[in-house]
Amino acid sequence: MERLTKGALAIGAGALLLLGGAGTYALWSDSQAVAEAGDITSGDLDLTMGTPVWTLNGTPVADVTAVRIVPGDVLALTQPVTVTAIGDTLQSTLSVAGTDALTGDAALLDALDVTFELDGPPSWATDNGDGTFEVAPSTAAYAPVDADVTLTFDEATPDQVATNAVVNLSSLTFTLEQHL
Amino acid sequence: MGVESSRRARPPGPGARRTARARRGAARAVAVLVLAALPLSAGAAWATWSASQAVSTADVRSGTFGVETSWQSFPDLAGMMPGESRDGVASLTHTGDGTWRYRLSVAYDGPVQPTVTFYPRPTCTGTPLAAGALSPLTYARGATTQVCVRYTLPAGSPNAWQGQSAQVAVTATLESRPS
Repeated sequence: MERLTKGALAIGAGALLLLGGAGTYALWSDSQAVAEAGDITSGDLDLTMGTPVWTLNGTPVADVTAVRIVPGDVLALTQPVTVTAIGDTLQSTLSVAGTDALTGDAALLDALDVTFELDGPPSWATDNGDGTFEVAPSTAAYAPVDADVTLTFDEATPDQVATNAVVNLSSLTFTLEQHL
Repeated sequence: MGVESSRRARPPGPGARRTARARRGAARAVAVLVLAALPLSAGAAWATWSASQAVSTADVRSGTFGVETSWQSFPDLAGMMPGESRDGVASLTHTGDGTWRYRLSVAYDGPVQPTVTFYPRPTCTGTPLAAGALSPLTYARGATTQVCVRYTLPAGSPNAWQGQSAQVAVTATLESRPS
């Protein structure tokens, strides 16, 4: 063969070798699903309210805004609460927050004592002794329980202190909060 | 590898010491950064779940409380003799909110001090109510009640009281009390 032809054949053979080499990167492999269970589900933490009932010294009150409290009165809100605390390791606390943030007449605020209790309490709630309740984790929402918020007007309020005064309750919230 | 071995075998010069110090310095800096980063990452872990619902948006209002008094029959206390008693009936009317009870007290201004006895009813009969004591009954919002007040010039009044007078003030205090 002529020298030119021999050179062309050598270049062609080299190109073929390179192409063949590219095909050798398909290596062996195998795979398995990491877990058979498939889905991972997160828990749930929720708080829903039923229809509240106000009482004044134990007697139901139709319209709490029409009530005029006096020293010695106990104004109570009974609120059905449904607690959802789903999660294998969920630790949470149910409380009434905002008692320090009440706004209104200073003398009436001083004379009012606000407390929070759960009727029973149910087996899933442990009284922490400080107005809060430790909630046990569950696999479904608990049956509704009555939460009682009580405002007691100090019966020792003298003279005409805190008469004709207003306190706004909008800062008060039922709070279910996870803790670590 | 051979080059690395030969470098380690060589005694460290000033440049090598600087490098080692620099490395130690870098290690300290990294440790400080890691320590500084830990609290930051720990802080981020406090974002926990919570749910809340308003207790109520209502306003709570206190009431008012007052009293109005008047004499239903006012006794004429002029010219009283030792051992003599004269009665009067006072009306107590509540204004405002809540149930209530009352206390009665007496104060004198002058040399003569007749004995004052209170009765929690319109007649000066039955068991009296001691001055400062709480009334035996609880009254409704806005109610009116009568008390009988008996003034007695004691039988043993001193001669110095003859021809003298005094102002005797009876005070009624209403107190808010649960029924």
